[in-house]
Amino acid sequence: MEEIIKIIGIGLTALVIIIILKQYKPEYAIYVSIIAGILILFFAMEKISGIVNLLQSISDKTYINKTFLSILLKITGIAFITEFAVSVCSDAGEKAIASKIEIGSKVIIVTMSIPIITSLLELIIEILP
Amino acid sequence: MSRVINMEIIKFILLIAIFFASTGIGLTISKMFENRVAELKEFKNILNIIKTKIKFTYEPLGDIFEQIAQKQETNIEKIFGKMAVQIQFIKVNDAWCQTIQNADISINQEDKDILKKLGKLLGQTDVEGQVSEIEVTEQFLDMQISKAEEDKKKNQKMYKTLGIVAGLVIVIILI
Amino acid sequence: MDINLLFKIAAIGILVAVLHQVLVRAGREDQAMMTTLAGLVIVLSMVIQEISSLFETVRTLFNL
Repeated sequence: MEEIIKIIGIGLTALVIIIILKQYKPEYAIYVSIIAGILILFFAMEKISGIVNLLQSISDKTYINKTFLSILLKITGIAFITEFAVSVCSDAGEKAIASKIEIGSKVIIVTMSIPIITSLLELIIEILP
Repeated sequence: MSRVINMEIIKFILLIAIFFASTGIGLTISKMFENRVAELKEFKNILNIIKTKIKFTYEPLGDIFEQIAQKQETNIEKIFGKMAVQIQFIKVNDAWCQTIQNADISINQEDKDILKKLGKLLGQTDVEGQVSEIEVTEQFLDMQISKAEEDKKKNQKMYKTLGIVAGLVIVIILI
Repeated sequence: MDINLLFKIAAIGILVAVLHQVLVRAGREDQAMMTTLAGLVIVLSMVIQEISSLFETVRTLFNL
């Protein structure tokens, strides 16, 4: 509860500052929006560390391959920062750059998930006669 | 713990000092424009006195300068006092040029050059020539005064605001 | 790393806008542009530190 109030406060303050700054110097507004995004992400990050620890402790109890979990976590992290960059770019009106960042991140996610795909294919080949 | 608080207080004091220093610099520079106009006007006034004295009383230049310098109120009058002393030892032209060039006043090099040209003829030719030379210099001074007024209108407020705002920017960046 | 940074950037932005106005009014367009650039560089250097700290946090959290 504490966190969501802080996040809303930061968001609304940033909104007011951006609206004021846009009249005088529009180029500073983008910086304010970036800093507001970073602040909010930091608050979210503290909570996410708890979730990550939970996932790791669950995977310790089961027989899931450890590397798979770390790959999944990496993909989540990539998606996280990509989403941040993409939203900043589209905020500044650069849709083209945003879509290029998205394409790059998708390609990297696919290459990272290659071990999972190959192990899945091997499993299928083993099952098939 | 108290050390941290001490550091904070020192930082705060230094920031305030930076702000006031910057504001002061701005005010000093803006004051210079005001002083330049006033000094030019005073120079014109004094030249007028010299012209009248040369025309009607035929006093030597040293005496005229001394009379001007008697009050010793403004910087310009002090300059003429210095000149009255120097004139006894070296030539009028050298004394005039040196004192004006080395004077610690707000007028700029252009104004000084115009005043220095007057020294060449002062005390050298007959009354007629000197008076006409002073009149020419007065005309030039009039032009410089109107230029200085324009500069003052344009720059005085800018430097004032510039000093305050620059101080604020530095303080905010350093906080 | 807190809300102060937002206010700081806002203040710098507004003050640079005032400086720009004053310099343009006094007929010094080139210096006005220089102040705008300097302000942008200063703010950018502050923002880049925060971005790098965010990325560092994400990297340690998800063991990238």
